[in-house]
Amino acid sequence: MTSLFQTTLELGLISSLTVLALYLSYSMLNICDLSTDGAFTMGAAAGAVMVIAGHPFLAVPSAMLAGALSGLLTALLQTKMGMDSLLSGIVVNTGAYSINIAIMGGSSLLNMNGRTTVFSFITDALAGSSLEAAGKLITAAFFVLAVGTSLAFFLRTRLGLALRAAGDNPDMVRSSSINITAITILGLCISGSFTALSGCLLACYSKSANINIGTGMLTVALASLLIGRMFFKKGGTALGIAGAVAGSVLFRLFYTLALRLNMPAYMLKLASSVIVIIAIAGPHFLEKAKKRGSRLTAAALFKRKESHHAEIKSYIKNF
Amino acid sequence: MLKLNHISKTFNAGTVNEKKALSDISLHLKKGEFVTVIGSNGAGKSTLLNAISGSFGIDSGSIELDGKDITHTKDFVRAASIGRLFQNPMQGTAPAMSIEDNLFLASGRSGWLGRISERDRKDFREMLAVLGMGLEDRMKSPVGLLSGGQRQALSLLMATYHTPKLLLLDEHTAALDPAAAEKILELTEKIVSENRITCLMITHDMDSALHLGSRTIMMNGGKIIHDLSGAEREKATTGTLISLFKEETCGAVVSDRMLLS
Repeated sequence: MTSLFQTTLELGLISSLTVLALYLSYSMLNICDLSTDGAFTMGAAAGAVMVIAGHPFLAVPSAMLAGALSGLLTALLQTKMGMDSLLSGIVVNTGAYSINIAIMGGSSLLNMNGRTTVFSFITDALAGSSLEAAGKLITAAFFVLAVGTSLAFFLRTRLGLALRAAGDNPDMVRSSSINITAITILGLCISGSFTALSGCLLACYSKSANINIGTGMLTVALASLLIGRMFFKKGGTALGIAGAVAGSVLFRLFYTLALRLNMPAYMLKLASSVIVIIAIAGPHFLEKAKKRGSRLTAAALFKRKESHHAEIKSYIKNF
Repeated sequence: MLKLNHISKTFNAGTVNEKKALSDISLHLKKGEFVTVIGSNGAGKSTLLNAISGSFGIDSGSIELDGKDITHTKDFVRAASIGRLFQNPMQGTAPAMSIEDNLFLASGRSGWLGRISERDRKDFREMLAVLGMGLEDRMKSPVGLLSGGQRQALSLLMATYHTPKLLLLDEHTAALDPAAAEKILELTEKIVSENRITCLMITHDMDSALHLGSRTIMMNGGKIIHDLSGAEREKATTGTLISLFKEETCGAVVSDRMLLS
């Protein structure tokens, strides 16, 4: 049971990097970046190729670079080429499929058995010590800590504040001396690199990269993000980041529990979709219920609207 | 300070919706001059301000600011020397961010990777205290919790944080309640005169159009139809403005908002 819990924690931490990417693009920049799945796989592919070439550490920056390039393209499409932000994500995602297979040398599956990865390196380094069993967990935690703290630091800088403002009130940023296009490009590059890092780590962790490794990642990460937000509703960006990581771990935990209760593994994606639906539709309905709480029935609302219309009509007449 | 030379702008040229928004406008503003702009809806007042700030390119003519030709300069580059305030108090600030974050963003201090320091906080406190709205004790609260007047006051502080060469005010008090509007106008006058900022202010309130600043221009149909200053302006009353307007537009309907003053 401990090891099952540990695996859950490890997987939760690894995918929390994608959640942090979405925290940046979705929560801060207010862009729904649909290229997440492709960028995730791209990170896995680039990382796997480097690991197989014998560069377990270079795998990490190469994966992040690949993800940043994918983010750059998505951003350029929507800022410089007049494409809708959702569509640009979809287009990049579709194109990424071919690119990813090309990165993997035309194959859709790369096996890293027996190769040194960051995980095996740390585990080997800890061999014999009492921490050996926790090697993978330590590695994953290290990356999450590094990314989480640098993101928290970044969001407090003026550049980070400009990025938050760009998502919060684009009109304001547009009329200020901040170049909103550059900010959007930067934000999507960073978030792409986080997503790819997440994919690279998952591939190294499971010692294989396949072309479908990132499928549905966007929804899974979004579900985690929304779960995290439920627990850390208020508070600054540091809490938001902690919430995103916690949400990712919790999501994995729910998933593991569901598996223990004999939910078939293929239900993961459905579960993530349902969580996203509940997390978004739930508050929406609560809001509606609250409005109804002011004891206004539909009929009364209609009447009020009618009288409002009459008021406007009489105003126009007098005018 | 600001020189507009024969600028024109037509929207949707060549279609049925063609609208000549600015037609051959020339305007010179001296340094430190405070000019109020009046005119009915659709006269081209906001379009004029948008053209100056670079929201769109103009069809012909040139714009000069402080001796530099900025006709083809991008809007965010111009924004470094042009401050702007809009009618909507929500437009000038980021609601989810705190007051100090908003101010820090506007301050442009300590470079892109800099963070708010205690010294910044102290300066912000002093600046906010001048507003007399108690905002200095709420520096960590999100701007979204402030009232429209408070947000507009904060926007004003942000737009003038670094004394801009030109301040463009687009009916920045029109959406506020009378008390808040008066307060904001007072602050505007104070900040503009203390820093000798060159300023263009659109207003629908003819009283303030005549009482604020040193010059009033009246626009109609994308043209400047009257330019009052000096003794002529001193003598003018709201009634004078309305008759001037009627004369020029052959008695066209004066909108209700023009009369509300």
